Amino acid sequence: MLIINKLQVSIQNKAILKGIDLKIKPGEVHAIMGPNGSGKSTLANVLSGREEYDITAGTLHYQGVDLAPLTPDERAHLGLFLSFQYPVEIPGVSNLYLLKSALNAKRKHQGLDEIDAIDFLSVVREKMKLLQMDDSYLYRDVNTGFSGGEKKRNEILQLLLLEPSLCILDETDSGLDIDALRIVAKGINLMRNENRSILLITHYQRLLDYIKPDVVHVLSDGKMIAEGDYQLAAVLEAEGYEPFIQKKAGD
Amino acid sequence: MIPQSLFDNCAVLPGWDKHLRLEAWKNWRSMATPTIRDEAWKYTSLARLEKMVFSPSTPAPSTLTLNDIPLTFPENRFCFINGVFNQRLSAPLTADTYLLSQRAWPKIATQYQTAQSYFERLNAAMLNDGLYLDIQNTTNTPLYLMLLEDKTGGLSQHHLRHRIRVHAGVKSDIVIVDLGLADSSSLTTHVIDIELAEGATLNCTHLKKASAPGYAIRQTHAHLAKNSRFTHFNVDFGAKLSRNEIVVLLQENNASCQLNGLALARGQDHIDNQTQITHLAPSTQSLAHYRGMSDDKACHIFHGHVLVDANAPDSIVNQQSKNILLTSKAQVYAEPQLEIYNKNIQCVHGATVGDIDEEALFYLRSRGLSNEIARQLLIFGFARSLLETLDDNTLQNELAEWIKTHLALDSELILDCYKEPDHENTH
Repeated sequence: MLIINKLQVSIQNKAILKGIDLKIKPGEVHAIMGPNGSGKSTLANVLSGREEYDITAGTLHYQGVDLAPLTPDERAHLGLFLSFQYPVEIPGVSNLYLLKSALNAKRKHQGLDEIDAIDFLSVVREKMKLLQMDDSYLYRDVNTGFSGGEKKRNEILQLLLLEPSLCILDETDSGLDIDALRIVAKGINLMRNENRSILLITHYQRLLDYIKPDVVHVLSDGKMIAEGDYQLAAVLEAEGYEPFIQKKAGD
Repeated sequence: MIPQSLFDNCAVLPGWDKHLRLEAWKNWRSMATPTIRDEAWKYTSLARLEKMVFSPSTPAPSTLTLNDIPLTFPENRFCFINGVFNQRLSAPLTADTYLLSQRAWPKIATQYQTAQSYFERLNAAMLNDGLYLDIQNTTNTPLYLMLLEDKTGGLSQHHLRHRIRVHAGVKSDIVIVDLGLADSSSLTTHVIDIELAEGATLNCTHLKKASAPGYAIRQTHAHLAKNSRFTHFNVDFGAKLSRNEIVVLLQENNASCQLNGLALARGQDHIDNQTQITHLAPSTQSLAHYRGMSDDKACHIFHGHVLVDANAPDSIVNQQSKNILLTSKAQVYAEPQLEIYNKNIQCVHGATVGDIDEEALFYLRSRGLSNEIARQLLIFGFARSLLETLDDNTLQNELAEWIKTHLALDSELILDCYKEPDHENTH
């Protein structure tokens, strides 16, 4: 279970998150929505261990382990996975290599032997088929020259392969057309099970039409200002964030 | 560096023009050693080299075998050891396309009349051996030119000059391997003259791994006729001083060149890459892309100069230099320069110097890769992304292996994933 308690985060002395509380149990899907600059991506980055953010107060625990002192790779070994809003291009590093070394890093942490090359190809091809990706993706450099949609699909491929227990998806729907959105959502839904937690960060309801969350949170100016079930997303889509922000200000 | 007595006592090559040699010696002696006050030597000091005295090369028998060289060779190769042609390790293609040593001198000597630079003059005065290659037919396999340096037991010097001509419409691939296996200091100069006739293509890959304490100065001059194309891929693994000067003249319409370079400097290496491209005719194209990596206290210099003459409209110029510094004591000097005398051209140039991409590092670590492995992978990727411009996959993979070894990358780290996919077996 992920437990975030009164989390305050700043970057270059500017406060971004101003006291966040969040609990995600195994099997649950939570969505965080909010206007631009509300701190959604900061939360995703802090969870995955990006170093330029300072945790000024509060705590982050996953499966009872304090995340704050852990490096990004240690967090990945614990089961966290961040699907990047802007996946990074890495020229000269083949996608196949990244996928294989990431999987082997996980297996090593679990005390397992490295995966056999043939077995690996068979597993990765099966996942690629689900995402309608052809073999050429394996031999291209990581995200280099990929379209926005291809990059997001590549993130989900990594997700399917690494099978993390906590998936943080930062605006995975941005830059996707309807067909690509369906494919990506199908991939994410395949990952849903009673042991896995998913945190969706999004601007729009449309992703939530395909992946129905158990809880929707509204983040504004570094604070959670509303919470509800998946129907809250429809209300937000119809009315915008402003009524919620004003209501919170009036409280 | 070389006292008069040493020159006087040095054996004259059989058949080499004594007068030419003496003239070259006088020319060299009359010229002051370049200093850091000279623009072309601004970042490379020769002060230490100047104080050293190097013995002339002696054709001592070498016990080197092909197993000592970490490359897979095709059948056609010319090997020189310590500046002298070695028959035992060589396997030339056909006798009528090349001339060696004494037979090559008349062809090589004609190039000396233009010897202007300090080390080219020295090369002319102290020349040990050379090859004249006259490529009249397109071949499918690359020709290897091996310039090896074996242990000599002291300070030694070797000087080679080669001339390569590619006939009209002929396509050729040449791999030059400059490999130093010595553990003591040496001074080597290599001069290579290249002439491409109309419509000729020469793809030249030049690997340079000089003996670590060595001083190696190499010059390549290429003259390109109409519609000819010259590609040069320069991979330098560093040395005490490794200086590479490449001069390309795009003399006639639609001639084009692509100069790619990779400098991997570690320890106290000093790699100095100088490229000079001159567009003299319309619709000529040049692309120069140099990448440098400096680790420890090493230094890499890229000085690229492109001149577009007033008579070269519709030319295309692209000059880039990307560099990474891995420590606070490493150094990089990147200077892409343009000198343009025609307004109707397309021109792009740029240079970057930076640390490892932190965003990419975080991305890899978030996928569970340790900091060390992620860094190694990014360094390897930086080098490898330029290797991808090589058409020869075998060479690409062998170079990748060299890079892994040179950078002391975890051998388990870079898997066979980099090799060309074998769809037959993997499907």
